[in-house]
Amino acid sequence: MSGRGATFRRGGTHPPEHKELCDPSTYSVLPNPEQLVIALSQHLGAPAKAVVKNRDEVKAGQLIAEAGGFVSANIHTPLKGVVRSQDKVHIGPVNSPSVVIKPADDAEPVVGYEHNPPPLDLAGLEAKQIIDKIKDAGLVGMGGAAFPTHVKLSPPPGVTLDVLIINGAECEPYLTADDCLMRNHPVQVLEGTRALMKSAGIERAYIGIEDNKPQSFAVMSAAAEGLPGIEILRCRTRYPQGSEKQLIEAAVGRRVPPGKLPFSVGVVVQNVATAAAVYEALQYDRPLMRRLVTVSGHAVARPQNVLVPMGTSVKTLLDFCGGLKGDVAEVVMGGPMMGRATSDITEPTTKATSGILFLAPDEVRLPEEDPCIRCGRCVAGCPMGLVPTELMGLAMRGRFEEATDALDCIECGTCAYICPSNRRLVHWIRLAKWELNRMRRRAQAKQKQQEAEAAKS
Amino acid sequence: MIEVLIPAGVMGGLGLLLSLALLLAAKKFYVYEDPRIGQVEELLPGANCGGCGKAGCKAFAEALVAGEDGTCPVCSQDAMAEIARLLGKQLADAEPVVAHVMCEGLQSSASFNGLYQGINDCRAAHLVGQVDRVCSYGCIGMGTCVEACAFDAIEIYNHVARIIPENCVACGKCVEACPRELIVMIPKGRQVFIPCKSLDSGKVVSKVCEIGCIGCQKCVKVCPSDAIWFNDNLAEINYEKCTQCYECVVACPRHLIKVRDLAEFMVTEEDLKQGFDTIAEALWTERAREKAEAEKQRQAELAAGGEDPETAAKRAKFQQGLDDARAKAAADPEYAKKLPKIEAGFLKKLEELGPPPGAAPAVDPELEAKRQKIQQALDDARAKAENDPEYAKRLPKIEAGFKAKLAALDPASKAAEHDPAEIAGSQTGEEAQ
Repeated sequence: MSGRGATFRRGGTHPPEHKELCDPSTYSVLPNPEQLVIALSQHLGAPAKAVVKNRDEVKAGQLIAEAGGFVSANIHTPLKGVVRSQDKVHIGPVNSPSVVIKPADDAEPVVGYEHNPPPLDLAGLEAKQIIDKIKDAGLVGMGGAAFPTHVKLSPPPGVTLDVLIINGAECEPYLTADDCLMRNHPVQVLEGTRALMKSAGIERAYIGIEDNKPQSFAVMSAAAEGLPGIEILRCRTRYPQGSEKQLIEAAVGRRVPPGKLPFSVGVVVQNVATAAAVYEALQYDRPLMRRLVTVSGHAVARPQNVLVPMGTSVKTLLDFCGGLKGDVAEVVMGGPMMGRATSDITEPTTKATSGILFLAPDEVRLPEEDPCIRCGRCVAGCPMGLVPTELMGLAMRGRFEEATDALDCIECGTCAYICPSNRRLVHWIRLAKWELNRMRRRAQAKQKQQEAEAAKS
Repeated sequence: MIEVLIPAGVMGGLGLLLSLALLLAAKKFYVYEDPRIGQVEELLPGANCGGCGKAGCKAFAEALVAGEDGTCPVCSQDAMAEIARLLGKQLADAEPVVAHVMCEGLQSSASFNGLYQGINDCRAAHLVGQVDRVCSYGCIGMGTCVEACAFDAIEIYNHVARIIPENCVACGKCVEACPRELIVMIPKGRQVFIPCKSLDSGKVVSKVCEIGCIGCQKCVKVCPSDAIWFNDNLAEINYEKCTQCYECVVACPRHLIKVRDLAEFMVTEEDLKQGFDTIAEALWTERAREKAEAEKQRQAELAAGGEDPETAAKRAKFQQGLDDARAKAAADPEYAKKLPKIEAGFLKKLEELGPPPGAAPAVDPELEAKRQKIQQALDDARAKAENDPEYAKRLPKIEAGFKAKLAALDPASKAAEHDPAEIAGSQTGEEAQ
């Protein structure tokens, strides 16, 4: 690895970080909100099935919905209270069933992360037991995609895993929640890493931290001393370092083939917050029900990291952070590069909400779109080696069958960010991706129908 | 001369030789194509829309001639019949359909917030989730379906896509294009439809849209042919059962269920000013008139001394219940213990219905006591006047005073003035039974 820190080879960019807005050295615990709207489809895969009824009293940490399939996750209530209703909630394009909980007046606020927690005793635990506990606790990837963790730890037969990478890159501008977690609670992250290593039978783990977080790097390095097989890896600050495939390349130099999962190169990647949640699930039997969320942007009065029970509305968080201090042009769920703008501030947070940004008008750049000047910057910038301008052209003309490369796009947004003509490149590619997936689903449905008819006749 | 003949002969010979070669090649490599393919293709519209599921009209013609089944959604019935005749087949009896957009949350009736700034395509907007329209199920209105339509049969009107049925050939391209699956095919002759796809609860829907389905299920209850089914907060019509009686159209409290007539199908500016759907409007007016007439008739019957049949039926039912209970109590001593409570219940219900017409009006016991007291005083005064001539002189004035008081107590009841004791007696007697 070079002296400038490990990184991926192809493409990438370095947008202004704005991480100074939200201080990662400390965080606050959110007082109980008035109500929690807990979406049952907040992970990838099948929605969870509610196991509580209206007017049921629930305890903090109680299971309220169980996984609706193998690729699904359990959901627990973060606070003691009463189930008020079970309506639908709209999180982006997902119309999810939900459980609405009114916290009791005497409900304790969500438990914070312990300081100086004991190390895990892994001697008596088998890999299977660890995975079962992770599954019961409803753990999902907390980096943003919310992929159920137990699925990631159960490789298909014939695959041997040899490297675990814990993702502390946090390459998205503004966000400091992972930084905050590593600085304040390194033991949870490291012990969780050990448990993950054991569960997948892996001997070698890297914790990738970008070099714009020197304190985190120092704290984690100090805490990791004496832990065999765990290396804290300094990465060069470069977007999209926190993307699974890019981080694998940075850490071990392997490239995941197009259309394949990290399994294919023997690697598992987990977020630092997920590792900490693994520790809590094993040490305290505590399910995943709250997380650190960065509330930032120039339009919010007191940007800060907040420990938030899932299901809290954006509005509650905004009020807790002192409300708006000026005009807000856009509210973004997640980071500014890959996050999704929302027009509904009653939208609840989920297990995957890493940040909520209230961007002032001067932070939101939306210039006119100019014609492509064929400069090729998007091609050079694409970390996946795609040709964004061509994919965009095909998508605009509805020639999706020819744009199958789009399926490899990780939607990092580098192309649209660096385009001198402000072309909406990633937007069209994302559309093409969606359309291709829809076409595939339709073809499958049609085939099924034909098979059913053939079986009948 | 020879200089001319030689080239002419060479050229002519070459020409003959080559034409012979062409002739032989044509014979040798002749491929037989069924002439019917060309004939069928002639009859097809030639729009290559792909509505039949084939790559184009030529491919469809080949498939038809090869013996496959299929219909061209664009063709007229006549053309299809002609093709069937040509191929010696029976025409499949399919009801023609027309596309319909299942959202009518126009700008005037639905809530909008936010400012979408992404690319102008419904699919991209759908990926963001809630765009400017608050409802997550409604029409995004950026016209991806309009672009998909090769027949100019869709337009965006007031933020909502709508089909121009005259142009629609039911090729199904728009159905495929819509990311929210709002466009469906409805049999052409059908007039009633529920243009909403929201699966939200009524509470949420009523916040974001003035006409969206709130899941009250009134339509399900009034439908005489069980043609409306209800699932996940949304009512849907089963067109195989619908008899187009319009009961649901009248019953829908949101005025969501619409009637369309192909000519009058679209909501226009003028309609917006007047109300919503002209046909539905006419139906409501008609129903309102019928209702008013029924009410008038009822009032007239009441005035004529007859009783509202509904109340009468109720009274008869309660009286029957009361009599039954008494009969049962006479036979069953155990039941007799509970009788007073049951009797009280029935009597209370009867009392709530009011007095039966023709019977003496009910009398307030307090008023009655007062009346008796005044009557008593009046009688006393009359008796005294008989004995005391001095008093007799003042009697008319005193009598007038008492009578005025009586009249003040009950100006409506003349009967009570004449013989209050009898009425009071009958009243108490009835209660004692």
